[in-house]
Amino acid sequence: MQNKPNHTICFRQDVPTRTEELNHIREIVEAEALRFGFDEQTAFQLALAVDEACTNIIKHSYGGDPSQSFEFEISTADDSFVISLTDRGKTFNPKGLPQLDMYRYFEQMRRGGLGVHIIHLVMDDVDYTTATNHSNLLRMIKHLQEE
Amino acid sequence: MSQFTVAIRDNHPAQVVDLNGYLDAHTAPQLEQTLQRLVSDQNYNIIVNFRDLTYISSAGLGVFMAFIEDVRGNQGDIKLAGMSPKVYNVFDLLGFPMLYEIYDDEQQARQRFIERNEAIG
Repeated sequence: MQNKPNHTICFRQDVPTRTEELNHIREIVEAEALRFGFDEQTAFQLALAVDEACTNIIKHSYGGDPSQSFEFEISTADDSFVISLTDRGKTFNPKGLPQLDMYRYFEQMRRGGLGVHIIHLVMDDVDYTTATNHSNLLRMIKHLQEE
Repeated sequence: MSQFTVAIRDNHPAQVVDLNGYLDAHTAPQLEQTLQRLVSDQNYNIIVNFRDLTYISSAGLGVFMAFIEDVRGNQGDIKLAGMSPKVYNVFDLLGFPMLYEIYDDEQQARQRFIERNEAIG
C-alpha cells in the first residue's frame, strides 16, 4: 500500500509514551477520519481503537516508562484510512491473541485485555510486523466503502 | 480545561458517582480510587452518572469490572445511567449490557434500588 502513487500521509508525529497524550491522539484521529469521509460514529470508534493501541504501547511495550516515544502516522490510499504506530519497545503482537468470547469474559469477571478486542472489532485489517532493527509496526486499516 | 472529574453525591438509598470529561488510561485511576473508597466504606448501592462523560475507553470499562463482583457479593449493584449514544456504543460494542443494568437517567436507576429494597423488606 505504501508504494501506491496515491498514498498520502495526513499526519505524522513522535508521541511521548505518556497517557496524557491519548486525548490529543484521539482528537487528531477523529478529525482526520471525518475529513476522509467517515461518519461521526465511525470516526469516534477509530479514535477509540487507536487509543487502545497507543495505551498498549505505553503500558505494555514500554512498561509505563514515560521517557520513551513512538511514531504515530495517519495516511490514506484509495478508500483506505491507515493508522501506523511504530515503537521500539517490547514486542506485543495483538494479532497473536485469541479472540475474546465476551460471555466467558463476563462469567469469569475478568479485567483487561479488552483493548485488542476493540481494535479487531473496529478495524477491517490489523497488521503487525517486527523489523530486524527491533522496531514494531502496528498498522490498522479501515475502508471507507465497508461502512 | 479539566480532563476528568469524579464526585460522589448521596441520593438515598444510593451513592451517585458523577463523571465529567473523558475516561481513558490517563484518568481511569481517579475513578478507581473513588469506587475503592465507596466500597471500603461499605457503600454497595452505586449509581454511576455518565451524563457529562464524553468518552470512555477499555481502561474505564475495566474499572467497573474490578468492583462489580465485590459489590454484588454484598447484595449491592453498580448501575449505570445517563450515557450519551457515543459512550453507550462503547459499552454495547463489547456486550457490557449483558452484565450491567444501564438506565436512561439517574432517577430510573435509583428507583430500581428502592424497589429492590422494598422487595427485600
